[in-house]
Amino acid sequence: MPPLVRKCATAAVLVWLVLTLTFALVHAAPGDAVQLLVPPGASPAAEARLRATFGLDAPIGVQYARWLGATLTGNLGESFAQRRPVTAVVGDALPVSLGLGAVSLLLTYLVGVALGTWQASRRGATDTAITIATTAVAASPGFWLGLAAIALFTHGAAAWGAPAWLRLPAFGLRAAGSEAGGIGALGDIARHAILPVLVLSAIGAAGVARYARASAVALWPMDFVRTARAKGASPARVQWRHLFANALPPLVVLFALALPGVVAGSVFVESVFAWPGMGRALVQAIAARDLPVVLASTTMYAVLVIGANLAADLLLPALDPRRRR
Amino acid sequence: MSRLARGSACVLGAIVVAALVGPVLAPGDGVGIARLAQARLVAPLASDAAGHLHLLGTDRFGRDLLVRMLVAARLSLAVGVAGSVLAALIGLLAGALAGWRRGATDVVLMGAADTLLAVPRLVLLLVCAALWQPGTATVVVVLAATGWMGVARLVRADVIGLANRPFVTAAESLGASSARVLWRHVVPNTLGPLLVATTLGVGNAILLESGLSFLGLGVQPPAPSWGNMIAGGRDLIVTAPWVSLAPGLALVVTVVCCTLLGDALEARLRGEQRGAAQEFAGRSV
Repeated sequence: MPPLVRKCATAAVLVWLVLTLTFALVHAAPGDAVQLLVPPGASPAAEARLRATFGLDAPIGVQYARWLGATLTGNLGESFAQRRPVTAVVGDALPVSLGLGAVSLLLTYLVGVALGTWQASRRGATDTAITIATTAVAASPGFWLGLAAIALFTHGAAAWGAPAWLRLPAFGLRAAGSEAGGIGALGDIARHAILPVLVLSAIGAAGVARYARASAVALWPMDFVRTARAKGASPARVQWRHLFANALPPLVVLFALALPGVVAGSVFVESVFAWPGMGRALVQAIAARDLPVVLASTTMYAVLVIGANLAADLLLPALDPRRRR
Repeated sequence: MSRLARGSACVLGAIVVAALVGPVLAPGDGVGIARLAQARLVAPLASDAAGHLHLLGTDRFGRDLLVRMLVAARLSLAVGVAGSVLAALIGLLAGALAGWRRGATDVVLMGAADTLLAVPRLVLLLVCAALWQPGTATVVVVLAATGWMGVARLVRADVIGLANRPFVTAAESLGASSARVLWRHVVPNTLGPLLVATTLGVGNAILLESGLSFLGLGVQPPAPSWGNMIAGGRDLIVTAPWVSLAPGLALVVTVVCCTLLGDALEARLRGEQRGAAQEFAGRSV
């Protein structure tokens, strides 16, 4: 089997396993949505009727087959709590999260790699100070940094008389009652995005910087670096053309590995900043035992992770000639 | 060991001692509400109406934040250590069996690990913690159930690499049973990386516990954990920011120390391995 086909097949099997796992988890847990939906004091007959409406009365094997078949054909069912198709719920929330995630991931990488590689080239106090700083930011819970940012940029900025442009909006996607369309709406969303993006990419960039520093430090004593220096290459050329080219492949792998982190981080950041994205949708769905939404969003996260891993796997030979065989 | 690592170890030690001793010495238990009217939302370093000084201020129920943080440290540290150690044990067992037995055992165990790794850990945690009764025990179990995969892969790779080494062949030819060779001779050689993974895992587990508690799915109030303390001050973030910020600071310091210590252990281990390899290479020449 050619490697491309084999890797895609492995990914497909993995998706199926994740689907099965989530289904099993949700059905192994005590209680179901119907218990939350029926009004107290409803007759058992009414409860049974409701259960039948959602197809929850069928044998577990039948429910699994039905659900798997529907999911694979793109029919994610109807949200128990919101009484509208899951595709609509996800369709509303996904673009918000993807936008937030994409911008943050990009910043994470640019800032993280630049900081880490630069840091590796200096040793001593600067290195130690940046190491402590990046470790601390990477170790900060997103919700806590988010709250700190809110305290600083709303209350703090107002209290210390900061200029108006520094008083950033902290909640929601757009200003309340904003009717602006086109460019005005875009500007409004951008202003609301500053704090969430800042928090999310600061945490990510700190992690990437730690990783980039470690891989660059491991490369500095290598023979090819000495050779490049000895033949008279400028420090910048050594750093970027020789060191960076060798540090890049593991960073691409890290990109795939960092994606779940950004996705997971967005759960908290969306929750703190009241952004109507996937993370918030998942948290709300879990609270309401809204199984179709929980299953759909878990599946989507898994597909995202598996897809990113697959992409990194396929991309790696293009960046690293040693892997072309 | 570097100064950074030694410093981290000292700070961690101090936090553990404070968590053990602090609540015993402190006035009040950090949970009960005694002096709501006089001590509500006192700012850090200020005194309440009765003249008691509060180093880190008080929360909306007039409870001293420092005392609460020390009580919470017990729970947060215990949950983090328990979750991480339990995950390491499961990972050790799964990885050792998969690497030693190979075949079907390997396929099943590593398939399970890959499946769990394909879902972001937080999402898995959220789903599990929410579907079962939220609480401290659930958090520990769920942390262990979602944290063993990395360790398992690490141990499996080590065991496979060690299986062909002369000392294993020697033990086998001396008549040791397969189980004895695995647990007595092979597994002890994998414990170094395991220690690193567990140290780093403690920080991560504390972080995840705080996240779950923040969303109301972890340690349940009134029992304080750093996560639910941050959550408790969430709506006060503009008027009384210290209620949320102080416990977060304790959490960040703890996690940073775990990370730096884990990094240093790893560097030392790698150095030792390199040293051993050089020694070995030198001898063979």
